[in-house]
Parts: sequence; structure tokens; C-alpha cells
Amino acid sequence: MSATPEPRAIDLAGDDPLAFERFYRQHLDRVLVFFARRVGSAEIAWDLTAETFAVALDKRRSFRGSTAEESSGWLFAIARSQWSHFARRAAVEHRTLIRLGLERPPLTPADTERIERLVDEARRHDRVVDGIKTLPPNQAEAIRQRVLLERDYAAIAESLKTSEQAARTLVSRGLRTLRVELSDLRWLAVD
Amino acid sequence: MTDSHSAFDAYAVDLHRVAAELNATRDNRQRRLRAAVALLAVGAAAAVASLSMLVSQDRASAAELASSALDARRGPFSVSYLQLSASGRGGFDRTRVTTTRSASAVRTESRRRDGRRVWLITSRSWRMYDSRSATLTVVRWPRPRPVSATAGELDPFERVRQQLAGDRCRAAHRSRVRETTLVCKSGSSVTSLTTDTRTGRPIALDLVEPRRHTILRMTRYRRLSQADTGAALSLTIPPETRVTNTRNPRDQRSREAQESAGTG
Repeated sequence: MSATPEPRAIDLAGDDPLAFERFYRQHLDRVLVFFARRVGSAEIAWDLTAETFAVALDKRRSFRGSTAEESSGWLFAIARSQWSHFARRAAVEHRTLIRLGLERPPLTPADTERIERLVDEARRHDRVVDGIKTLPPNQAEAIRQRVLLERDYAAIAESLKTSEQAARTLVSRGLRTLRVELSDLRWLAVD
Repeated sequence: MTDSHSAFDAYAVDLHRVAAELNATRDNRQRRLRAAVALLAVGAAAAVASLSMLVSQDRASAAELASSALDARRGPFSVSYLQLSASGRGGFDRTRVTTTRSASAVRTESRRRDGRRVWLITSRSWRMYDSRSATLTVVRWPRPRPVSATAGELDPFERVRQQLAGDRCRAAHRSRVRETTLVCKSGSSVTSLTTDTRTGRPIALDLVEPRRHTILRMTRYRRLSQADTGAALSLTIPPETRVTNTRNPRDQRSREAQESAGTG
């Protein structure tokens, strides 16, 4: 019996035109957030995002990587370059967009709301990460295993070389501290 | 992203459309490229013109073109080194992009029209290449083969000469000659290749354009010597080809024999 194959990266350099569309949909949210958090404007973030994907489309044959991680790194290198240009010139580059004959559609109110929601989520995520960093290491690790990895308490206890009850206490105390620390974030519900 | 009116979805559709168009253009170019490379394999001069046309038609894809040409392996030769020469913009008279077969190393060299300043840029990026018009020269290398002193066995230089220049070239190789130079004329330009006859390694490749008073010499070209051991020949098949020989002053007899063979 063969092992389950690893998730494969999208073949950017191949001939399937759908592949790039899939790549775009995979990374759109992260690129939007990348720009929106820096420029503070949904419109400009969308402008920069559109040009970033236009450049990626144009350069896709030069991508030499093979993993999803590499393709993501490659895309964000392009995004950083676009950001760098914008920071220097205070203007969005549209050169590749125009050259390829791509059209950047205007944002609808729902689109703008979507970008703002994504940015809010990213900020909340940062707050939680920062909050976890302030916890004692064993509590942070217990929360990481319980909440992020969804492991059961027996496994956490074994990993931390403690009892199951002590593992429950670590998670409970850690979450309680976080709840106080992040009390302004209403969505943080723990049981 | 289920809202069909979303700008994000509309842009995804547009990206798909442009990707398909780019693929179609590339397919067409690849077909023409394959035909040109097939011609190249038999040493036809028309192939160079054909490749030149492809480069000048689609500058942005010069990198792909080069890369594909480098992948092609036909006959007893492997294309392992490719050079694009171009008349560029911004006051540059000449821009050359060279690469190895793996396309892992790229060298771009620019020379200004006034001939006074030269920039040498080493980059891994193909995007350096951009020009209004271009000509293309392919230098092909025979597969590695040790030079043997066995009587009757041809050294790589001789094999190249016979393969590509046919009977228009005269053999210059003699066992005691240290260097052999093959000179190819094509229009006003002259390409000469000097090869170490003992090792078969190239020593210098000179590109001479008398009208522009330009001489480009690639001496001990590192990437070439790394790529293969063997001689090289410009594929700009000349109407007239002659071989001059020997920079070895001790081998006067050999030189005389060569000259008499050339006139006889």
C-alpha cells in the first residue's frame, strides 16, 4: 500500500492556465492582508495585490521552486518589491498589469468589508500570539498542544512529563490569563 | 469567494484568460523554436536567422527561448552555451547574455556606443535581457571526449570542423601545434576560435566586427571550460571559412605545410 502523498505545490511553470488561478485564490487573502496592514487602505491594498499577481503571472516560468512553501516565498518576494516601490514613490506600479492587458476591477462594498475583516482577524491573531508569549513556558506549550494541535490531555501530559490533571490545570490557567489579557477581543471563547 | 460580483473573482477570471493567452503564444513560439533547433542540429545557417527572428519578435521570452534551445540535444552535439547579441536601448551598442545549459549562471555584458565604457553585470536573472532587435549566435560544444594521440583518431576540434564547416575548412591540427585557430567570416563579421590542440580546450573566442572596430575576446572563458572539454564553433555558418594555425613559433614547418595546403 502506498503512503498518502504529500500535498503538492501548484505547478506554476506548467501549461495549465487554471493552475495560476488556483495559486491566486490560495494566496489572495494573505497578500491582501500584507498590503492592507501597511497602507491602511483597502483600495491601495487591492491595487498592489493586483499588480503583485500580474507580476507573478508574468514571471511564473522563472519560478524554480517545487514546494508550496517556496512558491509562497517567491510570491511574497514580489509583494515586498511592490511594497518597496510604493513606499519610495507613493504610487502604485501598474506596468505589468497594463502590459499583460489585465483589468483590475473596482472593489465592491462587500470586497472592502472583506479586506477590513481580514485585517481585523490578522490583528487579533497577532494579539493572541503576543499574549501566549507572555505566559509561562509550560502553560504556553500546553495551550499550543491543546488548542492548536487539538491533542488530548493524556498526550499533553505525556509530552510535558506531568499528570493529566496537571496538564488540564496548565491549559485552564493559561486560558484564564489570556482571557483577562485579551478581554477586549470578544470572539475568544474557551471551554 | 462565492460572490460572482466580487472584484477578486473577476480578477481571477482575467488572470485565467491572460494565462491561457500567454500559453498559446508560447506554444506557437515553441513549435517554431523546435523547427529552428532541428535545423541547427544539421548546421543549417537558416536556423540562426530563424532563432534571431524569434528573439526579436518576442523579447520578453528570450530567456525561455534560450533555455529551450539549451535543453535541445541533437546529434553528436549538445548545446551548452548560448549567446544572444542585441542592439539595445539607452545608448547601449551591444548587450550579450550568456548562460550555461542549466541556466544557473547568466552573464550580461553591455558596451556603450562610444566604446569607452563597459559594464559587466553578473546576475541570475534572465530579465536583464531586453532589446529592440536581436541577433543570436549559438556556440555548440561537442560532448566531452579525451584527446587521443592515436593515429587516425580525430580530436574534438577536428570533429567540429568536419561536422560544421565541411570541406571549406582545412585541417590545421598537427601534433606539435599548440594552438589552432578557426576563423569564420560571415558578412562583415569574423568569428575566430583558438583551441589548445593538446587538450581540446578553447583558449579564446574572438568576435570581430570591422565596421564597428569592435573586438570581443573571451579568453579562458571559465564557464565554457567548466561546461565541457572540447572545441567550439560559432554556428553562424560562413560562406567562406578558412583556418589559420599556430601561435607556436617553433613549428614553422607545420605552418608552412598549412599555408601550402591552403593554396594548393
